[in-house]
Amino acid sequence: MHEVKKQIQSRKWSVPQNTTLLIKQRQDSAIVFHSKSGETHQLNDIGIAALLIIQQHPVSLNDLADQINKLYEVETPSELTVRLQRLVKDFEILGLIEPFKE
Amino acid sequence: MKLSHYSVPELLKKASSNNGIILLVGPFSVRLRTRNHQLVSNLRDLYQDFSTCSVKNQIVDFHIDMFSPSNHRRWIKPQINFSIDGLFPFSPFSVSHATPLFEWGFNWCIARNAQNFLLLHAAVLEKNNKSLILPALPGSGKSTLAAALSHSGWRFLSDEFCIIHPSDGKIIPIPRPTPLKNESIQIIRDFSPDTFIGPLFHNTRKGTIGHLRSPTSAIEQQHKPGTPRWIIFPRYQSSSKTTLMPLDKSFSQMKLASNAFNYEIQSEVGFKTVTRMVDNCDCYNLTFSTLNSAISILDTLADNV
Repeated sequence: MHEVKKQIQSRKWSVPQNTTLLIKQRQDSAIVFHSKSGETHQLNDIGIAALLIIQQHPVSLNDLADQINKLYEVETPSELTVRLQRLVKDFEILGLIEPFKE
Repeated sequence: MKLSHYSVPELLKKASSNNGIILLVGPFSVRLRTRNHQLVSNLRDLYQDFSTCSVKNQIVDFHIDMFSPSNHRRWIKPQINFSIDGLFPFSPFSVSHATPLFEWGFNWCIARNAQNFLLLHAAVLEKNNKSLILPALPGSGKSTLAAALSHSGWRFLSDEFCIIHPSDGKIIPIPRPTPLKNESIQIIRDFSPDTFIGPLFHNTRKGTIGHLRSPTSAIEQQHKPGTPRWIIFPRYQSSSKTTLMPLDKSFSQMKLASNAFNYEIQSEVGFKTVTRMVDNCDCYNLTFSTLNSAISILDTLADNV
């Protein structure tokens, strides 16, 4: 069980190839247009920060949590990881990201 | 030549001919062929200030035919069909509802075919050369408010479609008649007794409908584009205090996108067009219980730019 959890956290994520994400950032939130689905999503500050990091280069959940932690200096990193795990799952369902293919 | 320059018999003769009547409405030209006297008479009243021209001088966008079916429903409980380019997108209507069928069919033509524009479901008005966009769901009071504003010093650009040109983000007017529904008909009659509302059509799918003729000045300026300045989501709520509350731009953008007819079809262009519009506008929620209080608050907003 512990091994599975570790595997999930070390799996890298990336934005699918041939996918354009148009992003409009505003004060506290951002709007993302996903070219493949034609859908538009509103993300909060942590959501858009996570998506921008994944868009830059493939990243694991642990690395993502570290980078977000540096940006926001979160008091409870373990809670952040759980939150990001959910966020990554949601992104995957929406087709915004996928497991990185080496 | 304006439609009002022709008598009903003259128009009926044209409409019955192979060339039909050509109406120039906003960015579109429509050819209508029909033999229905009542429809032609109603359209003459409602579109009296719009131009018409010869089919030889105009590329036509929508070729609309409205004729009775060629079966017993021509005589027994008579019906009328709406067709465009030989297609019949609707079931036949009672012939007495030919005018609302024409208006709904015209909406259908625009929503389906005008894919070179971004089409929002919204009314548009203008004051001090700045456009106010009123996107809303049915029942929000959008059409009633837009009708009242159009008779209170605001230029009327549209009731149903906010047509945006993606290249420059400008709004292209289409000041067609406004379909007032149920209680709104009397509200507008009381608000502005000089307005012209056509015959009432009872028991339509939206209840009773009466079409409000657009102000002549709106039609005279129908080729002057509008510049988006305010996006205001109106909501009529009886006995409420009239309030204008600023709205988060990202949230407004989501609401606008979900309110568009062809946002998904426009894809990246649609996203960029809506983004630019929201960036250039102040966004609000307007809750109102009386037209006068809503107009007063919007006048103040427009005059303080």
